[in-house]
Amino acid sequence: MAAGQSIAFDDVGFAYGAIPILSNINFTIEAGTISCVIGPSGCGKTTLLRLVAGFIRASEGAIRVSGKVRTRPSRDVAVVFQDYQRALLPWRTAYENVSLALEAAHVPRAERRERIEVMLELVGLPNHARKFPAQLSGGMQQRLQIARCLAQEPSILLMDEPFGALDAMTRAVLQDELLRIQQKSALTVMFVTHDLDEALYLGNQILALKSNPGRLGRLVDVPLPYPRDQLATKEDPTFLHMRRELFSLTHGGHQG
Amino acid sequence: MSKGFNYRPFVVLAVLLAGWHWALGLHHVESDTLAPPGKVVAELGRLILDGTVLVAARQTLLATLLGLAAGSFLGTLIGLISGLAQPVALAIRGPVEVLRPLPAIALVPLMTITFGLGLAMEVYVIIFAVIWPCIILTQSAVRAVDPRLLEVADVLELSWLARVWKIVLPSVRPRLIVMLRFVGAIALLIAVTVELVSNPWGLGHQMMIAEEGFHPDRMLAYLVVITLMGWCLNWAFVALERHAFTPRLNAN
Repeated sequence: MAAGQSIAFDDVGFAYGAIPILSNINFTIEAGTISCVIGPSGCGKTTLLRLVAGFIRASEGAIRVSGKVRTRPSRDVAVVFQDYQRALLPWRTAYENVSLALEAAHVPRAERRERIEVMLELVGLPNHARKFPAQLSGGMQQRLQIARCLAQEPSILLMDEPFGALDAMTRAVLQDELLRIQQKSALTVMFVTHDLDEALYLGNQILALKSNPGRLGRLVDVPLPYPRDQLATKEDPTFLHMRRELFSLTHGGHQG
Repeated sequence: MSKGFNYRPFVVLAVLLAGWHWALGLHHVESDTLAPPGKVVAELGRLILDGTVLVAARQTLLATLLGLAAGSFLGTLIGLISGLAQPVALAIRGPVEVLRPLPAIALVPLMTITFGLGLAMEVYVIIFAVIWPCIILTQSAVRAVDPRLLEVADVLELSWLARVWKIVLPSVRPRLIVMLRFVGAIALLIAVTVELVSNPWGLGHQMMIAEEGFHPDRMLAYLVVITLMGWCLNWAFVALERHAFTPRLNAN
């Protein structure tokens, strides 16, 4: 897997016609780190991610990936969508879904098999290669989408509330697997979530957005060491302190 | 397919045939327009044995399938391109809307002057009848492809051709198969009509000759053959549909 690249937001603004969605976004995601974007719903988290993906273009300012201005989607920036069932090809098996990324990169047929098997192994689906997405559980489908994204050998992984539709247990398992994969590959990850605990658990850095229009509320570093642990990390005084401090930002001002 | 043989439609059919036979026999009708089912079956047997019905059926089937294949291929291609590229859709919208309401059968004189009587003329009329629904149905199927899948194609930087082949076509396949079944019926309808109206060829023409020669039994025998051909075509498309839908529907 390619080493991560940095993402720089340089005074980025975005508007639908006259309606401003995002304005004055300035920050940098360092290469090989995980940045979590949180904020109330409707604050433009997903729009920010779609800008980095290249699906839409900034109305103001620019987004730079390792210094280069981003204008369109490309294979080195993978996107994990929240609605995994819509992002997988239902007529292809798990194996063939991963294969799509390799076909797109013109990987010779002879090399595909081994690489697909490695990817399915990595996300814990080696025994489900021949199943169709509809035959897999939600958690497995999301693993499959992650496998396809990793198979495209990205340097950046954009994740739009990827675990939001999953049950709590599956979510915890996938969080740990994401951390394991990221530690191994040094991918740069931008992770959008509305779940503060998830953001604190995963991120090196947290970017809290405010709404109307979406703008930077707080940008904080998370000094918790990796590898993180579902129990120990979440009982760490730093975790609890930061959780209390950031809570008001994501829950409309009032303390819980 | 269910395991038990469904005999009910055949019972209804048998009752109707018996009623038909009985009604004609009861009134001792010597009709130039109707014949009892027994005579129709006998005539059909004779036509099969001397081969005329097979020749005619082959001609009608050939024209139907050629016209269907060419018309649906062209229509699907145009529908695909215009469904994916808005400028193309706008460019063809005018011509499509002007030509589409034109009844294909009204083209028979023009096509006869251009291509003469025979296979070519009939195929062109069928193409004309089939191409418009194919364009419109394919276009709307392409537009209904999940935008998420197209974003996946964007992220993977798929070429235009790979995008069509790997994402769009498999997405629209179920709708295209339903479309094929729909326009298949139109193709046979147009083929028989062209033969009835003017083309000296095929089942429709044979049926016309039988009618003009006051042979109701022969006329009805050809009607039976046309009906059977319609059933067979429909059955083939239903089988295709079933085959196409199974691999995706064996989900939990």
